[in-house]
Amino acid sequence: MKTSRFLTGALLALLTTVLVGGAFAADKVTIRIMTRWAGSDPQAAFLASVKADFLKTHPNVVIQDDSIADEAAFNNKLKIDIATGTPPSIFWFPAIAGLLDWAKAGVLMDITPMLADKAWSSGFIPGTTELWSLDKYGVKGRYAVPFQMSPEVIWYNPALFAKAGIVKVPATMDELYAAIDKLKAAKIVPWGLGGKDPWRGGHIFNNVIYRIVGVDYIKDIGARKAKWTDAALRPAYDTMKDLVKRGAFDKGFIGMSYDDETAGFFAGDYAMTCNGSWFMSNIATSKLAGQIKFMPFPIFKGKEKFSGDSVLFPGGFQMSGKMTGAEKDAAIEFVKFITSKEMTTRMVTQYSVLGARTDTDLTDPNLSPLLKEMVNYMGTIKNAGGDYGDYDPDIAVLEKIRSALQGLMLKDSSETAAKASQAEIDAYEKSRK
Amino acid sequence: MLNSRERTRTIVLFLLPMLLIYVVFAVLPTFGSFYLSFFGWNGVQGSALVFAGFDNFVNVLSNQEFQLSILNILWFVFVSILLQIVIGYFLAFLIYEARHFIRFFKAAFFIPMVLPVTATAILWGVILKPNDSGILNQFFIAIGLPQLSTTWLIDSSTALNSLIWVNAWSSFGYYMIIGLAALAAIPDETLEAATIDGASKFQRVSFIILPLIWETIALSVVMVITGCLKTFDVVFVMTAGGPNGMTNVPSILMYNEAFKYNHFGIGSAMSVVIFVMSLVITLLSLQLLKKRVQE
Repeated sequence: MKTSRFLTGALLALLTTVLVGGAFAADKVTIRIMTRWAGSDPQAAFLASVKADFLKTHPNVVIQDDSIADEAAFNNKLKIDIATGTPPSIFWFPAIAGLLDWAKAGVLMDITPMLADKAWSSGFIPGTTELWSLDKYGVKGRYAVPFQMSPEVIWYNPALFAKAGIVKVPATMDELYAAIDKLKAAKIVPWGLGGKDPWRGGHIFNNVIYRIVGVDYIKDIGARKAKWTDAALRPAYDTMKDLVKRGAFDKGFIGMSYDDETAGFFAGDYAMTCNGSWFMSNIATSKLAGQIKFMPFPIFKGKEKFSGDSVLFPGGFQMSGKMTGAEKDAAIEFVKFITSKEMTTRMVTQYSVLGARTDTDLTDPNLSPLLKEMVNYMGTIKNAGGDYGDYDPDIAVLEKIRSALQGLMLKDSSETAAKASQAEIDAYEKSRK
Repeated sequence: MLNSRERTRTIVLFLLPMLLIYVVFAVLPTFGSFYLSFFGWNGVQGSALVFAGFDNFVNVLSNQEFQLSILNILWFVFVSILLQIVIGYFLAFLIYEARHFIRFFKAAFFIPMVLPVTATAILWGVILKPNDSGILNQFFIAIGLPQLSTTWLIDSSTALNSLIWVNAWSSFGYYMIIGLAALAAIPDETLEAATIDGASKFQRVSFIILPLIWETIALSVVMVITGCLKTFDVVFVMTAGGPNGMTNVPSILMYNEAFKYNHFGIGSAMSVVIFVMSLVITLLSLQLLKKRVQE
């Protein structure tokens, strides 16, 4: 008797808790964010600070941060979410033309109506709101809100340059080759490259192709007006091969990871590394803080007209096209908040991550000289290009070419690598007929 | 005391939860994969499944990368059988015959099996680093044999074999335990009788022990085959199938097609091919090993 009364009471209490809790929960709106900013990434700290500030003025919103640092794990989770019809409310996926299938299927929200808020949208760097326009691929609308811009440069250790007797920072490829020779003579590994991670070779390739043929040529390949096997692009593959032949990289670099590369650079083993502006946050916490400088990727002889065509990785927030009602409103509010002038200023000044706004307040006298230099450099870029794969609707192109570059830097010829690059596109086009 | 019907009902009731989980999470997805292999699908819910017939299979089987991955995995299986079974059962014999520190040796050789595979792969990645900072290369240089140091995971002659070794290292403890259990099941009287009859140690092992544990060895071979055919984690962590597809195995390609390139139909077709291959190789091996038992 006593036991059954106890059990009845416990069940009633449980039921009450669930109902009351459910009633309270019904007033809350949950938005789910998914990025690669997790763990020790300074952008994770930035996201956490923005969330905290947003929640102060939006107490009815719950922000579930599902961010994952590891690329493979992130891709798996995101793809599964999309396959099961539950994409995150807000996410970051590095693609432009590769968003086509998602845009067509309604997975992505067209952010064009958001741009009507001129108080917010007028502060973006001109052209950045068009970066994720898929009009030329047959789908109307814009499918990401610009958030950050990351130029890619060559970071170098001036102390190692001085040790090798390099007095002038290389501005041309010939000067870079000469610098490589001097560094080798001084028994310094000229260029750190974690070639095991295919994106590292791919990033150098981005810089090389934009300097040789310009950003628009690569966009033409995506629009099927040009090919990777064109004669104009052969020098790009040859350059990657030349760098290996000249001994620019460490022994066995194809078997070394990005972590090995950065560890080696900060240990003073490598004089240079090609990396985006996000590298500033790594530098700031390293033992070489305050010592590292950067130079733009050198210019090729006879290709001076492409000196303003540079790598500038665009970062944007995609938003779920499945959202409705309170969730949609809250997600829009949050995206506007995180990309506002105030939050962008915080991201730039406190976390050394460059934003996509022109109205960022950079008057703080404590700003690092390196950051100011990077902002100035960004202003010199006339024709910006992201990853070459951004402009191709076939999302396999990025990885296939990176893999071909590994083969090129190991043993394949430029012709083989170019053919392998184009083969993926040919197979893709054939499958669509 | 339960009667036959009640006993059967009780057994079924206890098996039912696990059976349900197995059916829902293993059997149904397998059939789903078979079905999807005949379609093209981009992985977006609501997107149309485009019937492709056998095109996905033609695509997969004519793909040079996939063909190389098949050759790689067949070599992987062959060498793994030699390494895992031979080393595992050899260690079992040694421990079976040992008089001291038996528990210590059992634990020591079993520890690699207990480590997470990802951790093992990262550890060996550091050991096999291709330049002079790699631990193995440093060792060779330190003992005056620098000519043995090499670029382990990027040289075509050593990359795949290095992965096979790492996989074997983390697995032979398991077969050592199976071997020990099989050896423990041999009646002492049988071996004593052989000794009394004048059989040497070699004769006891060859003509008594091995035939008696042959079915266990056959089962172990099947387990090595099925385990290796779906190898993914060691390869993914250490080389991701690179450089330039050199160490690709079918499971890596299947992952890339489905989760990187959104070609879920082709990824499913690859999984069907792997399934059929596993089935054929397993049945063939069982037939061959069964013949040996009968002989």
